[in-house]
Amino acid sequence: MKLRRSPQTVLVLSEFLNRPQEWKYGYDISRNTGLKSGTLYPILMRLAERKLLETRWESPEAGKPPRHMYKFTAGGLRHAREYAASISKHSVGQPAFSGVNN
Amino acid sequence: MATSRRLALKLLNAVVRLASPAAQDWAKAMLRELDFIENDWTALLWALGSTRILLKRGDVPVADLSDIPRVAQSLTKRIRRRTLGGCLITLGETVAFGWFVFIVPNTMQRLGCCLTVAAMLYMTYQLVARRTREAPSETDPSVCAISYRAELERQRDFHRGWWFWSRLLIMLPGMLLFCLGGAIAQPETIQVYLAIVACFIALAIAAIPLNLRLARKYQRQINELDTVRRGPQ
Repeated sequence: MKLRRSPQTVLVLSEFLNRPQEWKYGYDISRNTGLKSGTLYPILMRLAERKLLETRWESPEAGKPPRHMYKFTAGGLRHAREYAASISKHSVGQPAFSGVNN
Repeated sequence: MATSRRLALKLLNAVVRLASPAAQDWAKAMLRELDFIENDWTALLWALGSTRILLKRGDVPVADLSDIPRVAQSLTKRIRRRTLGGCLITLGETVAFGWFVFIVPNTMQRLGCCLTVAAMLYMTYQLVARRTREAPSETDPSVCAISYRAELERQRDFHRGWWFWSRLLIMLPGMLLFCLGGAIAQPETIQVYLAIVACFIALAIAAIPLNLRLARKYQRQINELDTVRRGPQ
């Protein structure tokens, strides 16, 4: 699998790498990464299409509409970590995923 | 509820209705998030961005090299539609002004018609010359990326520089002469011709930012493609 990624995708991957076991919501990812919905969702769609991301609907609660949630699959987490490691190799002395601007 | 939020809700509900079965879940996901966006204007921007995904999925940034064949195909289709639509319009105008040459009352208008026909033929030439090349059948994304980049450059140049300014300016003299000649031949219709000139100039002025914006969009796509091709920095 190719490990080359756009800066926006790197932002999304880094957001998921931060507490990878937690389910995340679209708007929260958008706020944390600064990506607009028009940029974020195509990335989420592609990651999900490639089975790197697991999606599910939150269980409905009274008076609260269910939300769509996202989490790395095992393969997705492995892929993101490998990618983070490859970036670290290229940018010695800098933490993985640093210096990514939208 | 604020108008902007109401609009956002209506927009996203329409998107959910119109979305393909495969995209339904995603459209609903974007709609549900609206409830958690506190600011009404942010909600509207969220809805607009979400709508864009379904309308123009080909314009979203390339995520990685494996995306390139898909976006290249999408660009090919879009440019093919532009070429076909543009040629139909310019050839239609060519026929119309070609016919006017034989019915207009004075030489100035006839000259205006001839210049407009020449301008339309020039525009047809530009559309055909800048039509899309066939998307490469190459399955290797790295090879595909090279031809995709070349195509983006061609389309960027179509909307700026010589290609754009020449087709815009070549239109002006013919139309102005045609209207001036018409106003001289029939002074009672001067207001009609003034309205035509005003509309024409307004359209020409509007075309400038529109084309330059498209050129910037193609340049942005080239930059994104280059980032993906370079890989991790």
